[in-house]
Amino acid sequence: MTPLSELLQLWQERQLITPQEAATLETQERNRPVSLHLMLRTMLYTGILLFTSGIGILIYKNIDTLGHELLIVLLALLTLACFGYVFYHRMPFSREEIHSEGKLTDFVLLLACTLFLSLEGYVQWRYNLFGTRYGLAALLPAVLFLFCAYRFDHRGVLSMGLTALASWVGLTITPLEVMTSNDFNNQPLINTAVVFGLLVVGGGILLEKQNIKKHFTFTYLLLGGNLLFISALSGLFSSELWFVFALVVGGAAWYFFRYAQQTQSFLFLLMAVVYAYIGFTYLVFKWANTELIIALSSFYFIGSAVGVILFILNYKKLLKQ
Amino acid sequence: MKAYNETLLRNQYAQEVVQRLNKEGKLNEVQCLALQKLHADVPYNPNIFIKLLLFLFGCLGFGLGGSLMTVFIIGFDESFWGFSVVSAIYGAGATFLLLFLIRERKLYFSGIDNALIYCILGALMPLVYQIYDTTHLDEPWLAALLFLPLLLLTTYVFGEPVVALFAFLTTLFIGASLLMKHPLGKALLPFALMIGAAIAYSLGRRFGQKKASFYWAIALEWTSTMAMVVFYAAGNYYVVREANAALNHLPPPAPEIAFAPIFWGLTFVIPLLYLYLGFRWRNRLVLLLGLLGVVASVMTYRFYHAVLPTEWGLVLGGLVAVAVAVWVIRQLKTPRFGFSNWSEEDKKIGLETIILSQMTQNIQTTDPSLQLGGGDFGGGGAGEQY
Repeated sequence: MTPLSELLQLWQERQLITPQEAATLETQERNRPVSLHLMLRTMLYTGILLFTSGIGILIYKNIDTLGHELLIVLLALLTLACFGYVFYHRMPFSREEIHSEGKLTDFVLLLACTLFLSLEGYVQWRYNLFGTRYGLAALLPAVLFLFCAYRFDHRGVLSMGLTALASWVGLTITPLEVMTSNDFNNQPLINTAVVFGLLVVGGGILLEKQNIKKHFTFTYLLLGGNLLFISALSGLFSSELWFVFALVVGGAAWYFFRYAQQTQSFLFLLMAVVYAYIGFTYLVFKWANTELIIALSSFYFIGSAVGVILFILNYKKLLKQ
Repeated sequence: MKAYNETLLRNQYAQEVVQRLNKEGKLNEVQCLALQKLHADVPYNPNIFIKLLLFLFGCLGFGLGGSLMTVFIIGFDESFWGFSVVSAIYGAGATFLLLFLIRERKLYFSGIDNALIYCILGALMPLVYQIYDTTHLDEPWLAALLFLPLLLLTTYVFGEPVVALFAFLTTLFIGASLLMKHPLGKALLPFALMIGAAIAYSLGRRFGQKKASFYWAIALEWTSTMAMVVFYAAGNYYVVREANAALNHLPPPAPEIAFAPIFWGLTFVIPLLYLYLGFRWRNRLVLLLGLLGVVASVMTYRFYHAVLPTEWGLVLGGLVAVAVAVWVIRQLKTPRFGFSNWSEEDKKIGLETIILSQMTQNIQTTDPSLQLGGGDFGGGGAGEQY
């Protein structure tokens, strides 16, 4: 007796479904095809990863006989072919999300963009194509990726485009590296990062208000928000004008909180709470005198841990407006 | 005694079924509403991020509370007995908190309850170790045997998969240690482990078909999977050869083993068997184990026989994987043999954003360093090429 047949029996007893329905539902659930989607995708990606790394090593070992020119031409042809494939299979542009079920275009577009980056790096290294105009070298992929993201409706390429755009202004936006790769001892960089973060977040919100690709807002807020919060917090820790940055952290946290309520998003609620908590804790300890800190700090942190658990268990209430 | 309310668990399962059927239009609206109302009482089931956070903070809270208690109660008394007794008492107290939380907040593997279960088991460990130490038992498997009842009891009460896994592995460990005492047992250890895993698997399978097994369904799934992994590993040539050398304290490289052809046979037959079974039972997990097994077996073979240089191996392996994946995707345009290629709900957006951003960053950051390197391409191991 499986849980399913028990369930169907219960529903029958309550007269919510007829015996015939129960029988059809049971056979249907039993014979439901098992989806191999995720497994096949993973296999495909892993295969491509293995293949390309193998090819990479082969080329690396045989570069003397092959010559750079041949490689660059091959790479360029491959990139073009990928972009061509995507362009050939394009869907009409839409401001809404486009669902392209079961097609390879999404994947090929990603491949094309990655190849483009490698090609660009290669050409720059070999021929010094952009000279010292590094800005141009970063702006070019940014523009291309952002265009592709909107034209072919690809959230992944959007995040690549935003990352390239950030590196154009000299920043690292990647969530895992925001802390490590940016030099937040550098006051001008903090200012740039705060402004850039504000622009990305603001741009995302503006585009959502204009009803253009609403499902992209998530990417804008995630990437831009992280940078904004972390850079503003560094400003708060190090700058003379710390209260400006405190205001930015507070304002952004408030906005993310409201946005989380609107979209029922736990991630943004979490960002708001965690970053606000860091800022608040810093300010508390900045003003408290040292002996008080020692006496209270352990209680403060135990209280925080309990507070976090309570927060998480009750966050649904917070998300209710 | 079951810690979780089984009715809630069944409701959760029912809700999933209702949702699925509703999405496919197999239930009318009235039915759907009535069913959802009938099974309205479900456990607290947040998304994976929240579970992770609850888990982390559950552990943190337990640890902070424990350290406070240690400081206040035993003060600076550093005898180990005092510590282990206090720790056990603390664990017992936390058990009440856990049961209370489960009842009040309707938790069911929500992160915080998992954390508390592990922490409580951890808090009981010093006492078990203390008993083992003071009685001079001096055999690791006896310590495991002392701890096993706790693991089994926890598995019974909570049905927690990780604890169930540990209980299973501990049992295997005890069995293996007993066999190791005898030279013949040592020689037959791989077969004994395989038989043990097979028995565990078939028992689990038989129990899984009973009505009463519902409460332990997840634990059963995990242990069965582990049993299959052990079954493969115990027959794998590489594992047997290296383990043989390690257990007999032979210096590396590990020498050839007895019954080598049998183990080579097992290494390659078992993954194929898994693939076949996964196909027959329409079980994704078994299929996946089969695939991973094939990869592991090929790597085992390559470890002892130099067939191909690594780069060609990568190229060929990648090509085979892509070819198989594309072929299956094409075959499954319409569902066949009970399998489909329908995409599940898209839950990986956040992850994708992070991964792709990371990838772009990595490629981008290589540019400046190459430019700075100018002509000589120093550092990076590429020097000899130029």
